[in-house]
Amino acid sequence: MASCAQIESFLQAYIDGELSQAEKVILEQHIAECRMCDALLKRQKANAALLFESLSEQRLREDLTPVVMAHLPEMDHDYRRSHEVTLRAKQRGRSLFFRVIMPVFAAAAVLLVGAAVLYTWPKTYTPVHREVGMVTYQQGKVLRSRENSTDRMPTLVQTVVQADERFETAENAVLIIGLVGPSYVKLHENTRLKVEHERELSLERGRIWLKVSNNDRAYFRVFTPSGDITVFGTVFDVHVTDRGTTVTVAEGTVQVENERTFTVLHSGEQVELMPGRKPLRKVAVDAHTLMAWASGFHSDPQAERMFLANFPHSERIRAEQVFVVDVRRHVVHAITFEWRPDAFEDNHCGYHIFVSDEHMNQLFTGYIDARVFENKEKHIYELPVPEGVSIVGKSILHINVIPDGASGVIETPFIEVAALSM
Amino acid sequence: MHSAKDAELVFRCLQGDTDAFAELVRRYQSAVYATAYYYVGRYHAAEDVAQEAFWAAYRSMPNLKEPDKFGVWLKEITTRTAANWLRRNGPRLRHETPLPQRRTVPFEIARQGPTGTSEIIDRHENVQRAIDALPERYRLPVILRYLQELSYEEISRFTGESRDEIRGILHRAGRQLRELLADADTTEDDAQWHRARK
Repeated sequence: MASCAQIESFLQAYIDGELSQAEKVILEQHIAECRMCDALLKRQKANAALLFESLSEQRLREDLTPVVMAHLPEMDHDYRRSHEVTLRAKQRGRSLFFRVIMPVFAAAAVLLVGAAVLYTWPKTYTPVHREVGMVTYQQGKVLRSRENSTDRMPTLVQTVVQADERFETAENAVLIIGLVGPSYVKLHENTRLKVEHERELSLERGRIWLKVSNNDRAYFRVFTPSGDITVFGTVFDVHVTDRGTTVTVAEGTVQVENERTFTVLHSGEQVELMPGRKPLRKVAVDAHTLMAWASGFHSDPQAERMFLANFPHSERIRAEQVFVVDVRRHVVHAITFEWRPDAFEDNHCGYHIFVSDEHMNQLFTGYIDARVFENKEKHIYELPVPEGVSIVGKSILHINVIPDGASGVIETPFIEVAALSM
Repeated sequence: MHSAKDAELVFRCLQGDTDAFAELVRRYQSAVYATAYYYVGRYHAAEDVAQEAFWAAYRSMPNLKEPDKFGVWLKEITTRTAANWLRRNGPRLRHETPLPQRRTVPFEIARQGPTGTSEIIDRHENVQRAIDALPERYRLPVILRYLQELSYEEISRFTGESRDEIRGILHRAGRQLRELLADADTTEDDAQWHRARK
């Protein structure tokens, strides 16, 4: 038999009609035999009656529905769409079609569309004209033309050079082209040169001077009517005349060949190639005197900076470092570059330095040789302001540090760049 | 009694079926009204608050995350609506003399003269005081039960507590009310029970 305490906990639910059938039987049996609980039930009933009675006055008497429905506002429609989707997703017991077939079909459809797009996607994107370099100096009348086109356009400094472009210098005109590498080609007057791509040139007429960057994976080649020239990194001069081609080497090693034979030239040697004849009689020459024509003009610093910064000269190096030095109108005599010495013995890359003022006017350029970084004792390089350049009354200096791309591949992050004044 | 589930009605509402909302209003108006009464305490105001609560619920129905917990969500909206109403009207009410509670006094008792009437009024006030003395958590279920005679199931659907919890709450509240009212009205007898019964 149930205890009185248990019965007491049933009383309220019994009055409220919320007891289960079994509980009701237990309670009624107990009440019939226990006077205490019976009395308690009566009290509880009276109590409930009092509560009902006293609150019934406040009971809702009217149906609110008509009033509510008569003035129903607009639903917030912003959320409605998305909500319907989630609601539909949440709804259980929907047909097999929605639960299984539709998701499978949707996934399959997406895959199918993806496959179709992939199939029709253009295989490779090959631009008609690849950008291979930039004109870094120009003087006099220089025209350029594209392959299969008779249009001749004037050539100016900072013109972007594309593959298969032909350049022609007039009388008394000269041109410097920076090619990705970076390699530099100086064109003499009355010269016609076709840039096949960044490591191949066709000299059709005239004379060029070349400084070729060392790239251990690719030759640099110059084709002439009388024979071809193949090099790694070097400085040399090629002169095409009616008689043949003269090649002079100032630095490094150059291989010269025609259809019958070949020879290797070293620094200070010259050879004359003539079509169809076995030539290749090397003569010792004063290369630098012979190339004096090419030392009379240099790349425009602004154009060179653009060229070095914007073309990928090495697959591994391309980071340009930019510093702003507050000089507060002091007279600047030198600029120092500080870095943390690294663990590498060699294979560092050299840096071109471009110094310009607050209006980005070029002031001077400098170069930090790669060998500087091999000396582990040193971690500061002082770049003096060249003679004839005075930096006075400037508030700030912009200093761009660009890897030369021609030397090694180990980059040096500079930690501090400062200006020195006396 | 609930032929369609709340979630189903909510879904139909969202599709623009206003009849479904009317069904929800019919289903929940007692609970909403009782909750409004619990907070606002005045007949007409409670009705207004209940209407406002339903309109607010309809407006923001697309925000309802769990349609099967519509009741709990509606309770929250009702509470918020009542709180807003009190914030708007509270300062004004503080300077108003409270209206006497609207009461019907049975004819026989009224004939007994002012003494009988005042006795009834006293008893009403005792009940109010006893309910106010209950722990906060018990009050709304008690109001829902005794004001609108909602079943445990309906209360549970509206407050979010389980049916067993509601049974426990009402049991404990019932015992406390019995004790509180026994103190206030020592002359308890069966007469009251018989009168309430008829």
